[in-house]
Amino acid sequence: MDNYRSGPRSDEIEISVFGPGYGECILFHLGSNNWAIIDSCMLSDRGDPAPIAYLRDLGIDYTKAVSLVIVTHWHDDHIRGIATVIDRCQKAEVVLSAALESRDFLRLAKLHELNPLPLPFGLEEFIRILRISESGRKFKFAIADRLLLSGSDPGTDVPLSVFSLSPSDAATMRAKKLFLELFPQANQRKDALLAPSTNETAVVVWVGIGDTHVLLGADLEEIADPDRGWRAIVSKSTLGLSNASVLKVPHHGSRSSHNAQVWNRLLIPEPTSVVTPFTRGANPLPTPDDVERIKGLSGKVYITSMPQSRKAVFQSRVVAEFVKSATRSFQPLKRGRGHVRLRRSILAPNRDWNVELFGGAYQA
Amino acid sequence: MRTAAAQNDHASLRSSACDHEDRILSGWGSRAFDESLLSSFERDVQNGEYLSPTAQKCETLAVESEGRGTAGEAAFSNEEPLLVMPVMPARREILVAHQCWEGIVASVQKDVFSAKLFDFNPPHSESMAEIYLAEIDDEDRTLVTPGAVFYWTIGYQDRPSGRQRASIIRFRRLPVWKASDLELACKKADALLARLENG
Repeated sequence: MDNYRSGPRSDEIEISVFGPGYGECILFHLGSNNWAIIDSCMLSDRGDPAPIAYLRDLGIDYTKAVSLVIVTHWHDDHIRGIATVIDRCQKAEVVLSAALESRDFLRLAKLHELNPLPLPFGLEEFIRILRISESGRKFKFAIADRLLLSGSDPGTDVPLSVFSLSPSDAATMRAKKLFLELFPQANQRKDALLAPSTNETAVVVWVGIGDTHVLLGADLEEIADPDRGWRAIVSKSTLGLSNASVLKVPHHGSRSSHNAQVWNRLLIPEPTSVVTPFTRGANPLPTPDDVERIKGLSGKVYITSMPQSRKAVFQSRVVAEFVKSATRSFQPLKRGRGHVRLRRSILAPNRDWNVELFGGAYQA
Repeated sequence: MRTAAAQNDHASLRSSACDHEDRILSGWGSRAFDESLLSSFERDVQNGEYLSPTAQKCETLAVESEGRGTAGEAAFSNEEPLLVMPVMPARREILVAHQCWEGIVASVQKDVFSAKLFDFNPPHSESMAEIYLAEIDDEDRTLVTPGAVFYWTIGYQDRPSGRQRASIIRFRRLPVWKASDLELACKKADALLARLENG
């Protein structure tokens, strides 16, 4: 941990992937103290969101240094604390999935603003984000092949660009239809509104800095439809992208997110892969088979935290016994500093990534 | 034991674990009285004093109870009883909560439902659990749908028959959306969308 608090050099790219077991967040140093944040998670049950805590640890003034905040999709494990991140990173352009630029999604959010429920399930973050937008903050909406950021690094004069590769038009339309169906009728019970399965609307991000390319797969899954999911990216993208040397493996390494064409067309042979686990519920990801599959395709695979879930704390033996008999599984949401950090000089794109592992992160 | 009682307003349950427990324990004043009486009774039984049907001894054991006769009255009747037992004041049912969670149902499967749980006890951690549907009372079973809110309390329940371990899952009877709520939400959303599109 000696070097943990030393920030990247001005001419150094950094990709920091946080994945404590429940939650995912990526910080990207684009050069010259220019940062992008993709999603947010918490490292502890209380305190600041991971990206804020990390930049503060590095001594970076996040109010000025963050130029881009991307919210990939509406799932609690990707957006916990994101409204705080947006609020504090005042200079950043905020990007949301185009699926959320929808009358029906906004109606859902506004309806549940009238009836806030105490437990975080994702929507409350969007309600806060929408309040921020009402104070005049400008948002951008991501869709396939949209340029989100372009320019050049002022220190090295190397060109940089950030693209969103999804969601596709078809996925966006389907999500909007789903939001319409979720809107309740009069006399319907005021239950909590849970995030629907909208992984197909997740924002996949491509970052290019000179000759270094990185693919951040969010939670996009493979769908048997050429107009949606990874198939839409590999078959319809007009950007001609290739040769990414780093992949943030989509959807916690699940089999359902695997598309062979992504590995063949968009990545270099044997790229460096980073996986964030998902330990919630009875079927944690990645499975041992998932890890083997990803290892077979990658040069190196790093996983941000161990798959074991956090030990439950019960107040008494009676509670422990009852919980054991009444439940099939009981898992505290895993927090902690599971962190994979990759750094490489902008000017030496052929050099290996310098990889540092913190918390429970390990090489598979 | 599993219990699921209908409850319309659980707002007080949400206040905090401590508040919750304080409220539950508010009936302990009468329990203290019960316990001192019980120990006195046990002591006297051990000494063989209850087996003596004399008025003098019964008088010292007389305890008023709720509208029923007292041991003292029985002792002064014409027919002397062979054995005089003190009548204990009725004990209220008291739940001593060891741990409480608030939960939201995430999904329902055949035998279990998945729920996110928020622990009222410090450090207020969040958990995911798959809870067997068999734990839910028939009356509440129809309420187990995605988005439903419930409270799960585990501890001891003190009853007249004695102390029992208790796990109580109670689902909130949430109110319904009014047409005016829906209209208001639509108006606000449309105004916001116009701002986003023009922004």
